[in-house]
Amino acid sequence: MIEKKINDILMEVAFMDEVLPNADLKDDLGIDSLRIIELIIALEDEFEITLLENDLNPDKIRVVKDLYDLISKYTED
Amino acid sequence: MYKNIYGLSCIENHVLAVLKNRGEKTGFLYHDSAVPLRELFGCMVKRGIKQENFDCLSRVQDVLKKLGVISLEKNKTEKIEDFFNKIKDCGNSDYILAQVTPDFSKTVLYSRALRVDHYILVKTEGDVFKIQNDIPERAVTLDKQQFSDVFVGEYFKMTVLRGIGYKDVCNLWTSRRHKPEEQEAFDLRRSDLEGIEELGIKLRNMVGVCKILLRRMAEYYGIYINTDFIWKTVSITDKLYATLEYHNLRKNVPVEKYYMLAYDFNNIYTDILKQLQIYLYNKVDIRND
Repeated sequence: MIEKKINDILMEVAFMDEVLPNADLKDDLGIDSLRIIELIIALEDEFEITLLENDLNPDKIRVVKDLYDLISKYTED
Repeated sequence: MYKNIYGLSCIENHVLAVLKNRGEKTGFLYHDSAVPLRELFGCMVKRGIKQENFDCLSRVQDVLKKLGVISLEKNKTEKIEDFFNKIKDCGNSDYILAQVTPDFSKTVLYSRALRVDHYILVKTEGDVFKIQNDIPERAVTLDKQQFSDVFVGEYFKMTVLRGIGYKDVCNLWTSRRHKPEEQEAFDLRRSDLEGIEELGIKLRNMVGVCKILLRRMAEYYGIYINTDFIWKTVSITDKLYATLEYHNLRKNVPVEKYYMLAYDFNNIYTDILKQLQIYLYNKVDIRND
């Protein structure tokens, strides 16, 4: 369910019809470092979470799957 | 084609990529990257000048023109057929950079160019235009009608006149305006940030430029010394840039928070310049004769 919600937001942000877990956010979806932060804000609002500053690391958010892992960390107890 | 290219604009990205693709060592063109943070802060935060207009550095294309390595002239055209033929007639050393509409840049190329006047590299193949965007790196094929719809009518013709030679390398070294070996530390105080409108955005813009400058410094000085210590700070700077943008979007961030981030960044930048001073003082031996 988390993955579907993230995919929906990504498709909207990247104007894509489909996103794959291994798609590169920058090269495949055209989401640069500034838009990644916009995306994170959208995901925080969607999942009603607040990321720790340490997790705002573009180096560790390169592919779609990195987003699944990151958000899961905050939503799974 | 644009991997490890550190331009501050689309034109710089294309010029650097073209030369790199032709086997030129473009790292030499980052010779003036060690801009003091004091100067960047004054320009981009205090005076609020944006990346596209800041004048702390000469543009790569201007440096190359001055050296006589390239020629670059701006032209206008109204007829798409004439433009198509002009590209078709280009030789191996000629390149055309065409300006496209902001809407096309955003929705098709996914470009987040800072300027309204975004340029792409364009070639012809058969009856179509082959477009190459810099960031994100994206290739698009358009027929004449499609291209006509997105082409603004202005373009640059770039001609590579010769390669970068040893004399150029020496000239670039000696003509550096910003020499890390002569710089002093910048003492950033909290009071420096008070009363600045849109402080977070201006700080983000400055750190955004520094992200590129640090990579340029690592490339340029890496020709002469080991610059692993700069490469190691690149991801920290990227993270700081992301954090600034996050707080900008979330809004209502106290000046204290921005000061802490700016203070941390100043420490990183100062430390890099200090280390550069030490390494350069001991190791560099390059003369202009």
